[in-house]
Amino acid sequence: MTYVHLLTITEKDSLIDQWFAPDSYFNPIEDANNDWIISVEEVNQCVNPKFLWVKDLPLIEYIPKD
Amino acid sequence: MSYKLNPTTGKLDYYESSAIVYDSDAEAFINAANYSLTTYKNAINNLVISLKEANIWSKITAMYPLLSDGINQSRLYQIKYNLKNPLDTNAAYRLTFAGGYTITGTGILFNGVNGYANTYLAPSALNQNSIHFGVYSLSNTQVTVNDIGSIDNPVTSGAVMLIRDASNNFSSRTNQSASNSVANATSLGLYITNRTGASVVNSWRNSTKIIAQTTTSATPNSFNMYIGARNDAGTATLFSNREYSFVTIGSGLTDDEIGNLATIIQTFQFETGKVIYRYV
Repeated sequence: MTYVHLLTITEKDSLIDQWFAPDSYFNPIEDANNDWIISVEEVNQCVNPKFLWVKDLPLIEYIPKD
Repeated sequence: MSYKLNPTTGKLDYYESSAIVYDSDAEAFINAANYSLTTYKNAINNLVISLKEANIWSKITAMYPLLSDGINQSRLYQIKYNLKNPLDTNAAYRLTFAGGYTITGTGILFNGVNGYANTYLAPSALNQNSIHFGVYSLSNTQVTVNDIGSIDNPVTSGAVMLIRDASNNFSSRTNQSASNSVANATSLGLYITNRTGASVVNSWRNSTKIIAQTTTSATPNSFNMYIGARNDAGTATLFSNREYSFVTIGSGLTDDEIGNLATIIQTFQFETGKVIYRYV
């Protein structure tokens, strides 16, 4: 089972084109429920002080779009 | 040969130096990545020299050995550089990353959710009728993802490769609209797809040709090739969950050059301890 972190639309918009680690950028995508999510890797590896709040995002099961 | 002052005799003692003089291109890459391990430096040097001796070096546009020792620099810092042009710029086709990934001791593992690497190299920067691209996969997974490439929308031309889908097929587009495919029940090894003419396209697993077709080429698209996903006209899709250990992109290669390239890359993999299965 794969887990991801759930975003609001506002949160998703704030992560577009933003880095979470050197040379590494957030990549929010939609899941099967049309919710926006980012991966546990982005959250765990995030060292950008502007976006450390992602570490408090709720964890949900990942259901990919078909 | 070298000399060292002997403090006991006060004389100069002669001794054989084991220091290697690195090829200048190899040294530039070694310095950019700032490797500490001598075995890694020597392997990079052998890789570059071998590519030059086989007359393949000039046909490479971007090559990513995905090698990291994580000692003087972070592993991510070390694997991002293009062996052919190790500058930290998009124009040098230095990689950047998006989404979820893990840098392993043998390459980079994408998460199959949203992770990929951007080469900043579009097929339009290469010749329509002379292109090759390939990945060395350390994962054996049966899943419909995209291992490397880009495609336009609506589809007129793609440079993409899927080495093993959910139905156990390999498929590729090599500056063409329709895909070529063949049955393939493993995703382990070096996979290269290659075009050397308007109607000459082939694909390879290690040194074995698995596709030989006359599919007509189309004007290359202008979207950056992604590793670990497909760039669908600016949007990343088909995220891979495979680990990649080596990537090559460049001009079309002859059959002999493909065979030599496969041998050179496999030798590099052995020298750096990255091969984990029997080479076939």
